[in-house]
Order: sequence, then structure tokens, then C-alpha cells
Amino acid sequence: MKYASTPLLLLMLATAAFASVDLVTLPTREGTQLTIYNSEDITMVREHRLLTVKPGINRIQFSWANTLIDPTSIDFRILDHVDQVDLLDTTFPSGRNDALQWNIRSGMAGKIPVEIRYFTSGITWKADYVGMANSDETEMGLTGYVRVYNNSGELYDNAQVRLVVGTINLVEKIADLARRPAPTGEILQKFRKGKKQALYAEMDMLVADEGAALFECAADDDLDDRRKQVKKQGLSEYFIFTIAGREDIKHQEPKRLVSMDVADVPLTAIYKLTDRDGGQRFTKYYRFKNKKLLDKRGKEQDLPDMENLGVSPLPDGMVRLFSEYANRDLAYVGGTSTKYVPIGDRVEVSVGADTDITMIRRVKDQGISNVIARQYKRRLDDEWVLYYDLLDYDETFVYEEEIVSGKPMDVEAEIERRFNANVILWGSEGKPKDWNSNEAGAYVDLHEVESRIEKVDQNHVKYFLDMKPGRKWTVTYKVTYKRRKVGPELNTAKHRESLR
Amino acid sequence: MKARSIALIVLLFANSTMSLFGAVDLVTLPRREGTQLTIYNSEDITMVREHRLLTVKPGINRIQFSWANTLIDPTSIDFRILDHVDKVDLLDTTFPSGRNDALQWNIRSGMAGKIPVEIRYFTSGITWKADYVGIANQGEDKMGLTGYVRVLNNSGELYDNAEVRLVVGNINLVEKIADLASRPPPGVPYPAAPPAAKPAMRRAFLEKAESYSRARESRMLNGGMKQDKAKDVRKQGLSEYFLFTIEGREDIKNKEPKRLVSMKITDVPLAPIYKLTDRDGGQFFTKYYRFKNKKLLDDAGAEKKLSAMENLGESPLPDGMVRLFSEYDNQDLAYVGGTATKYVPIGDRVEVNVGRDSDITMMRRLKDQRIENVVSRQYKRRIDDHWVMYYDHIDYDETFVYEEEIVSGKAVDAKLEVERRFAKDVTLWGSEGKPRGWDADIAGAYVDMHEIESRIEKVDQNHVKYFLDTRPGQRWVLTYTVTYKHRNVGPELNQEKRREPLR
Amino acid sequence: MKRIVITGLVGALVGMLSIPAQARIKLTTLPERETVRVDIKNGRFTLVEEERTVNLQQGRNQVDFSWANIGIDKDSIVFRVIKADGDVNVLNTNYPNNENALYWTVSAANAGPAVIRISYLIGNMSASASYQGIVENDEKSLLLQTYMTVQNTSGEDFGKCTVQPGVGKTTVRYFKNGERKRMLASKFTAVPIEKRFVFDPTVDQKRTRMYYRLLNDKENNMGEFPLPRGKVRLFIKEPKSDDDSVRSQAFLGEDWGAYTPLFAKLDLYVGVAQDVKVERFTMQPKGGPRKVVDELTCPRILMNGERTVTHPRFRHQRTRFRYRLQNFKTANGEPIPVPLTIQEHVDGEWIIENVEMKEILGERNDVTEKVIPHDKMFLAKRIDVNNVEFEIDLPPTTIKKKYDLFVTILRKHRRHNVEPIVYKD
Repeated sequence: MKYASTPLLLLMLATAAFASVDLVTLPTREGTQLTIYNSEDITMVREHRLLTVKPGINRIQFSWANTLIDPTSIDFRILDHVDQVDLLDTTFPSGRNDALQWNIRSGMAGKIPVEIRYFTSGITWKADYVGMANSDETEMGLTGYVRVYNNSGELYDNAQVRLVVGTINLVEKIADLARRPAPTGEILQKFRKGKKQALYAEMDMLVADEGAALFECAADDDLDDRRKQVKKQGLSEYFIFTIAGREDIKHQEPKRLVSMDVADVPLTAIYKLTDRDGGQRFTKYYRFKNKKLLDKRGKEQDLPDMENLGVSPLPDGMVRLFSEYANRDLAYVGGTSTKYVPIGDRVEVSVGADTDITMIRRVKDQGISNVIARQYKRRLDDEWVLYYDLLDYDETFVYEEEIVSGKPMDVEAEIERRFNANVILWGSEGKPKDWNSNEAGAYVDLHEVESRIEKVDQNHVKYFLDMKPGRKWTVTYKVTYKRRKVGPELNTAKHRESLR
Repeated sequence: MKARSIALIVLLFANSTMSLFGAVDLVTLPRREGTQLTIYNSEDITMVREHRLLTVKPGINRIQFSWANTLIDPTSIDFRILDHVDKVDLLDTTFPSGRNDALQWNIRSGMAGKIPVEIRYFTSGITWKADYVGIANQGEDKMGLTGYVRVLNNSGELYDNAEVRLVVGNINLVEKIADLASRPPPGVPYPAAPPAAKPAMRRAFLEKAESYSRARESRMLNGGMKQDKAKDVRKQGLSEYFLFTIEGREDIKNKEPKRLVSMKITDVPLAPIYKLTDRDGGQFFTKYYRFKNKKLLDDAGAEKKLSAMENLGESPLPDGMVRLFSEYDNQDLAYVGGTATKYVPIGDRVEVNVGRDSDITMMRRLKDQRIENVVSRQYKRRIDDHWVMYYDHIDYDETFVYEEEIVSGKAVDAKLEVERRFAKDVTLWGSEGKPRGWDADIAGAYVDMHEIESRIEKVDQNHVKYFLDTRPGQRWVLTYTVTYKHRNVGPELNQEKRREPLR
Repeated sequence: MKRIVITGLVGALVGMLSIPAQARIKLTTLPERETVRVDIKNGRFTLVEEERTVNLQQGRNQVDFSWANIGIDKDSIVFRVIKADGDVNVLNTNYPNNENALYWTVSAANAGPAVIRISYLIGNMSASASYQGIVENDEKSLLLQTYMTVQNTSGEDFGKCTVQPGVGKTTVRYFKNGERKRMLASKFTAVPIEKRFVFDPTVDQKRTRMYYRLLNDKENNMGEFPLPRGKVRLFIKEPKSDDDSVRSQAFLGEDWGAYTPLFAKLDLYVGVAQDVKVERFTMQPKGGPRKVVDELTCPRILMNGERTVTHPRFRHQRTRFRYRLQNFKTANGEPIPVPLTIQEHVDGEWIIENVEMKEILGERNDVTEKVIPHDKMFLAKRIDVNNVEFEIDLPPTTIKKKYDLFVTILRKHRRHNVEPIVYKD
């Protein structure tokens, strides 16, 4: 698809407000910088141009038909001769939303450098990672990529490309602002709408295709993985990745670049089971830290930024994990998305359900005790009271959990259980004071489990196992639900008694 | 409607016994010598008085009067002979059959010549409205006030060269003139004989009409080159009403509103005031301009000698729309607001709502609340003729601590009034010290505003007001508490439902 | 094409005589507008003032004023004589039927030019504010620029005119119907920023947000006028790099700036602070299930005056939250503390009953917990009865060192249904 899309900059020397204007120059871009955000569909474009001005009022027209530029964001800065050249106002002509005029008063003739800055949508970037773990899952090679997509309808050639890691707040979508019709140009806009919508639909398709392709091609890097230095710099709550040199960001031509390539990242595997997702199966996670790599003696290794962790946060993105056997055969372990990881924090990448560690949970016993009926009365109407009974009783369940590790190495496991009443826990810290209380609740006795027991919140309890290969663990615990004032009513003898 | 629609035709009977619609001779078509409109603004009614000179011949004269396509009330039409009353008599008034827009007067004359007559009737469709333009100075302490009256004529009739009088006040009308005007024939019977003539008044009227005519003629001779002052408006009280008479004559054209200056006063002392009240939400300040409808005073405090047109306190101010501007020193105007004002009696204060003011802000926070002094009390209630029931109600005190942050973003000093509403009868600890009933065990809202450095005014049982004079850019943080003493609150506790016989 | 037409008519005769409308006298002057001022009070009205010079004849003059395609509030028109030789009076104003026109009958003491100013209200002009903030690299202060965008849909093409859009004042050379103009209306330099990290579970359960707080007062280099509502776009100055001749500015984020009166604070949500993590859990009160509510007693006064004790319909309810706090924020590669604000929303009568800060060291089975003094790093601020803020100076954390903050809120005097009364026998 071809677009007559380049934002045009026309310089006019206005003799009278609407008299004939002289086109003076059509300056080209001297330099372009793209700052692309990944949390929102927004890219900041900075262009530097050299304007030739004459003394007096200069009118400069800037137009951007068929692009996705947000007209409210366009900003004009004079970079030199600021004392002699003034921006008077910015005028948006009637009925159009793809052009504006700057009125500049100049006290000089000559060239002045200006910066034009605006937001556009349609350019995005994404991070993705390929991790290759060694066979005993203690170390991993990690390669990070960034991928830039341009569906903005505009070619940015020879541009400096910068990527922002972070979640900015955007109160209105740039694409909406770009499409918003000019206040009085309703008819004009209706005519254009069809064409634009087709463009957006096509864009969406393209992005979807890209995603699919990404998933399929997995690690066979047929894309152009050029090694370019990526400079990483913190800025407020974000990080900016600056790609060294200049790039041509062409319309609908995705670009993929290596953002980091780190070898020998210390890795641990952890297996978690939780009632929050069914409590049937263990899920395997790879854990590693976004920290600078250490050498054998515990000192920070002297590595270039591109080959080290802990230099910048890891942007969220897709992670594909492989495991490399001693014979260098690869096995695909899984793919998952990861969240943003701050410097110093731990990454926990879900590798998927793991069937090598099994959990069988049995209710070994259950019993009801301490049944007491208490009589209550309730007023029915103005003359009668009804007497009825509610029950108090304690219901105890004895669970046995049998956990077997089929892994050839030591593994760490975490089990989280949910109880349906407020938990009173007898765990690693001894019997609580309230253990014999008569209040309703779930009285969980995990004290025989040889682990620290952690109370996560009112209903969740966690325990930890360090498992040797082939060993079977049997964990037994007990929960007593103290039920109080339980209906339906008993002894509703249906006799009514007069008030008194 | 182009053609004039009121027609007066004098018919001379050859034979007085001839039938009413027999052959008649058209004698004259007298024109209006003078017209006076008295326009009321409370009801759609205007009294029209026309003076005409009839040329009569001895014998029976038949005069036809018709008013097609107008809004004249046929029942109100009155005919009076102003001179030669001894020689000329109105015999009867006849409404022709099938028509509601014409009548005939039969006159017996003992003379030949011109006689002045007055025709008086009510019409609807002519109304007037007052409106005002106030232009305050930059400091908002003085205002130029121009009052206008706007006369609207939708009656279908052109009244040229008319004296215009406007009545301020409410009159009672049992039937709408517009209804009477459109009522189909046969019309209702003509009302009783006209009120006793007042020859002096008539003469005065005539003389005045003639003097105006003379003045007009002389001005015409001057080619209209004479400088006109703004028209004077004479204001006089009349029973419960006020009558404004506009100097000179005006053409009151159909469907062409006309706006005339009724007063033009400079340097009216003005005070802006900003009010916030819970009666309208209690969120925003509303700005009001205050001035008095009193004669202006000079610097020494003596009444200024000004013409009635240029002074306040000469008449009530009729209700109408007020548009307020403020004028900067460079004569630029800023529109401040427009609002309707009510009738303002002489001597009263006018308070014109200028609209919401966003320069002064109020942030009210409920900082804390607490419940104290909970006591349960046993009561008994008689249930029927034989039994009493025992039950408990509770008493408790609920305290709310409020903080009000008021900021003035005005460039000048400003006077503020804040009125708060409390949901129970207020016992106030305000500027006058702790009241005697402060510790009483009686239900109510105990409002403690004594820390506010202002006079605290108790408006009524539920409303309390305080006053602030702020400087530009000043911020106030005021704290007050209210303790609602709740007494005897249900639902019932400890309803043992035991019934006990009456003793 | 001028759409507002003003015509001066000189009455040769007039006087008290009626002149038929059709027979208006010849048009003698058609004065140009000299200055025009457009004062936009947004959402309410727009006042246009124009000055013209009319050549008046001695005696009565008829001045016509007509317009097309523009919504003028007829009743709002004010006619003022700014400069004239001798007295000039408006005798009356006439509104011809069904016309966008009126004429004044003006009497002049002397013949000659008179400068008149006509002011009137029109519809369909609007102005909106937007802001650009350029934040210093250290995020301690910013330059705040107010832009006003004025839209002319009035139907009228204005030539050179002064536009006052509520804030600021600009003279433009032309302003055609349908156009919008954006102009710089004000500039505040070196406005101090308070950077805040805010966790509010009612807004976002998972993420901490970064806010800038500005104060609209003189001390903070603002306080000139209440800030109108508008979008604020924030850019940050980057450290100067070698290959960039002009310092780069990165986009930080945007937010709607609320209408901000003088002395009031303006909070701007800039973006997510992903390095500061807060997780919130609801825990049981420290004393176990029996401490969920505090039953209250009150004196009971019987009919016979005897004093006993009973349960009123109030009781206190206790809520305990655990906040897991982690801070991975770095500056120049070094971990740094951050000021964290946790917002909770309560209602009615309440107190913060208990606060406990625990340092959690280690992981899994090797965890040690230690209660640490919190008075230096924790402050509970009651904003009003519905809002409380916990301000925490959060030191840096690592994977093996975290903080747990426990806060117990006692909500007092909550109404509850009276329990069934146990039958005692």
C-alpha cells in the first residue's frame, strides 16, 4: 500500500493574511528520533529541520494526511536564534484535521533549526526472550530481543530508535485522537472514514499474523538478529533502551534486534501446587534473579551491559524456554509470558504443568463431634413467639498428602491450601492461644508437617518441601471446622406460644 | 397586517326611523387626534384611549366602529362625548348581528360641527418588560445602572404617535382580554353606563394632546435638528401601582419591539457579596451584587440633586432581566452574568444574583466522628385497655468534626456568608458564648462554632450562618463540631414482650 | 466578507414623526471595525467587543446593526460611546420583525465622528486548556506551560483581534470561522514536584502508581489563577547525550489535570511504578476470631430507676490488613528508599488501633520475622473520615529481605441486628 503520507512542511511568507503566499522552502528532515512505548500505542517522534525564514511574518504549513498522528500533540520548538524568532500561534484550519499552520515572527533572514515533536500511533515494540537451560537446570543462557512494528503509514528513515520500558498513563488513545474528526469537517471525514477503517483492520491482521508467526518459528531465528549495542538508561519510573546508530523503520516491516545476550544465568527450578488453580498438579517455574552475575568467589563479574543482568528491568514479553541436553539436543520446555521484572527482583517463569512430581491427596478420616443443640426464640407477630433449635458441632477432616518426586535431582516444592473458614493455625510456631476457643472457624493442625508453615491470608496456608529424587513424602494434617448456630432449624415444633 | 384595522365611520341618517342597515351617507372618517396607551405588565391588558373629532349634523348620527383582526375586547369599548354634552347625546350602542368586530353608536345631535369624543377600550397583545444593564467598575464598588422598558406590540394594530404609560404592579383580571377578544358573536351584553365623566381630566388630556401637536409641528419646522435628551420618564404612585409615563410620543408598531431608557444612573454604591448555603447544595459560592433603591447621597451624606431619571429611590424597580458587566479601567467590558430580579420597593435593597463564583472555593471535610454516652432506658407503653409493655430505647451522642477550607482567589477584599443546615434543632455555641442549655440532656444538634472568629448567626431552628471578610489570596481553615444528641431511639431493645396488667 | 454589518443612518427629519420602516433613509456610512476583543468564558458565554467610528450628524441619527450566520444574543447588546464631541444619547432601540438586526436612534449634540463600542454575547466559541510540563532530570521541579486552544465556530470570520480565553491574552492576525488556534497562555518556571508512590487497592489491586503533586500557590511558583481542567502531558529532560545536539525529552505520561483552585494540590498520575510492589492481604485480628468484633455494653436504666447493664445495638468491628512491601527502585545503579503512600477507604467512626512493621528475612523454611520499630518510617494520616493514608519511608528490599506492614483498623459503633436472645432456664 502506498500512502502520500509524509508530513509535509511548507513555509510560506505571508504578505497578507489570506493573500497569495509564496512557498519558500520545503526543508527536509535533518534528523529523526523515535521513542516507542510498549505499554500503550504511542510513539514520540522528534524531527529536526532547518527552516529558511525571512524577516516579518512567516507562515509554515505542516500537514500529515493518512498518518496516525495526534494533532493535539504537535509541538514546535525553535532551537536557535530564540531572541529573534517567535512562534506567534498555531492555527488549525477549518474542516481539516491533518494540517496546521504556525505563524512565526522573524527578525532575521536565514536558516533556523527547529524541532517538531508529535505523537503517532501504529508503531509498537515488544520484548521476547529465549532461554536455554542446561540439562541439570542450574544455569541458563538468556537472549532478549526487541521487535519493532510500524503500521503507522509512515516511513521513518535513518531514525534513532529508542524504546521505553514502563507503563505510562495515557488518558486518551493516540489512535483515537488521530482519527478524531476536525470540529466542523463532518462531511469530509465521513468520506475518508471507510478508507481509514480498512487500514486499521489490515493493521490488526498484520499484528495478529506477526504474533502467530512468532509463536511458530520459536527459536529458529530466521529473522535478522543483528547485534547492535543497546544502551539502557533509567529515567523516572521507566527505562529507555537506545539502539546504537540509525535505523530505517519501514511501514509494515517488523524489525527484530537483540537487546541482551547473557550466558550462565544461575537458575533454580521450583514446583508449586496451589488450591487457587485447582490444587491437583504441580506447576514448574524457573527462577532467576535480575541481578548482576557473580563469579565463583561471589564477586560481580565484569561484563558489558549487553551480556549482564541487573542492568535494567526486564520488559514484559513472551519467553520461550528450551532445555539443552549434554549432547546439545534441544527440548522445548514451554512458552509463557512474563511480567516486568525490576532490577534486583526475581523472575519466576512458568514452564507449565509438571507431571514428574505427583500429589495424591486423600481424606483419610472425618468425624463430627461436640454436637449441641441450643434453643432460641424468635418473635413471629405481635402475639406469638416461636421456639427453635440451632446446632453447634465440630467437623474434623484428616488429610493425607502423598508427594512423589520423579526428578533425578533435588527439587524445591511449595504447596498452598485453602480452607473455607477463617483459619486458626497450629503450625511451626506452636499451638495458638485460641486453639480451644468456641468460635466458629477452621482450626488447621499442620504441626506435624516438617516444614515452616506460612499463613498467607485468612484462608490460605503454605508449606515447603525440599525433595530428594525418588523419595516419597507423606504429609498428614487435620482441620476442624467449628460450625456454630447452624440451621436449618431443628425442633421447630410449630407450636406458638403467646408473648409473656 | 398592513391596513389599519380599526375603522371609524360616521353615517348620517336621512331619516331617523329608517332601518338600521338602510342606505346611509358616509360623512367623515375622523382620524385619531391623540392616543394614550396604558400598558400593564402583570396581565396581558392595555387600556387604549383615543381622542377623535367627530363631525356631526343635527339629527341622528350613526357611527360605525370596527376592529377586524385585532385583539380588542368588544365588551370594553366605551364611548364618551367630551364637549357639548348638553347638545349631543349617545342614544344606544348596537352590535350588528353575526359580527364581533364592529358596532354602531347612535348619536342625537342638536348642532352641526365638530365634537371631541373619547373611545376607550382594552386590548391584549401589547406588553412591556423592564430590563436593566449594570456596568460595575473594576473595584466593584460603583455601578452605572441603566433601566430599560421594552414595549412589544402583537396586537395587530399600529398605534402611532401615542403617549405610553406603563403600570407596575399586579391587577386583578377575572377574564383574559385575549379570550374576550376572540370570543365569537353574539357578544356578551355591553356593560353598564360608563363612569361619571371627569371634565377637568378630559380637558387636561385635550390640552396636553394639543400642546404635543404644537410641539411636534414646531420641531418639524426646525427640521429635527434640535438635540434630544434621553426621554424623560415621569413616575408616579397610584394606589398599589406605579405609573410610568414616557415623555413625548412613540410609534408602537405591530411586531416591532421598542426599547426605551427608563432610568440612567451613574455611581450607584455597590457591594458584592458571596454566599454559600446548604439550601442549594452548599458546594459553591454564589456572587450577588447589592445596592439600595434609595436616593443617591453625595460625599457629605446629603441627598444629591438629580433628576428622577438619574436617581434611585424615585419609584420601585419593576421586575425584569438584569445583565451585569464589569468595566475595566481601559473600558473593556467583562460579562458577569444575567439574572431575573424581582420588584424592588422604594428604600429596599436589591440583591442581584450574578451567578456561581469559582474564584472562591470551599472544601468541606468531615474529619472525624464518634459516638458517646450510650445509655439504654426502659420505657413502658400501653398496648390496649389492660396491658402495658416494657421495652428499651437508647440515648447516644453522635459527634461530627467538620473542617471547612475557604480560599479567596479574588484580587480584592471580599465579604463571604456561609450558611449551614443541621438536621435537628440547633443549640448554638457561637460568638455569644456557651449557651445555658449546652449540657442539657435534650435531643438536638449542639453546634460548637465558637472557634470561628466571626459573628455566628442563628437563622432559624436548623440554619446557622457565619461571616468572613477575606483578603486577596487568603485561606481560611475553620473547624467546628456538631453533636447530635439522639434520645429515645428505636428499634426497641430488650423487648421482653411481657405484658403487665394496668394498675 | 464581513458578516456583522453596522450602518449609520442620518435622519434628516424624524423628530416625533413616525417614519415607516420601509422608508429608511439612505445609508451614509459603513464603518469598519477598528478593534475587536473576544472574551471567552468557557461553557458559559463569549463576549465580543468591537470599536467603530461612526460619523454622526447633528440631531437624530439612525444606526443600524445587522448580522448573519452568527448567534448574537440580541438582548445582550450594549452600546457605549467611548469618544465623541459633545453629548451623544441613545433614544431608543428598535427591533425590526424577523430580522437579525436592530437600529438605535442616536442623538448627537454636534456633527462629527464618534467612537462607539458595541458589546454582545455570542455562542459557539469555546476554549480548552492543556498543559505541557517539562520535568527536570532529577524530578524535583518542572516548567509548566498552559496552552489554550480556542475554537471559532461562531460563524464569524474575525480579522485581527485580541482573544482572551480565560487564561492569558493573545492578539491574532486573523481568526476565521471553523479555525482552532492554540496559544501559550502562561508559563510557571521551577515549580517544585512532590513525587509520590501510591498504592490504592480500590484503584489498582496489583500495581503502585507514581504521582506528581503540585501546589497551586505562590510558594510553589504558581498561585496566579485557578488552573482550568485540562490534559497535562509531562516530558522529562534526559541526561545530555553525545550524539544529540539538543537535549532529548522523553514523554513521561499524561493525566487529566482537575480544576485546581488556589492553594489546592494537583495530583497527576504519571505512570506505573513497577519497581515498588505492594500486595495486600486481609488477615484475622491478632487475638483470633474472638477479636473480630468487640461487643459493647452500656448502662441500662430501668423504669424504677435501678441501673443495670445491657448491650446496645452497636459494636466495634476489627479489620487487619497485611501489606507485603518490596522496593527494587534504583538510582544510578544503587538501591534507594522511596516514599510510599498506601490509601485505604473507611467510613464512619474509626481508629487505627494497631500498627506493626515486620522485617522478613530469608525464604521458604529459613524465614525469620522480626518486629521492627515503625515510628520513624510510618505515619498514618487521616484525610477525612473516608480516607486514610499510610506514609511509609520504604527502604530498599531484596529477594531475601522484605517488609510486612500490619495495620488494624477498629471501625466503631457499627449497627447490627440484635441476635436471638438465648432462652435462659
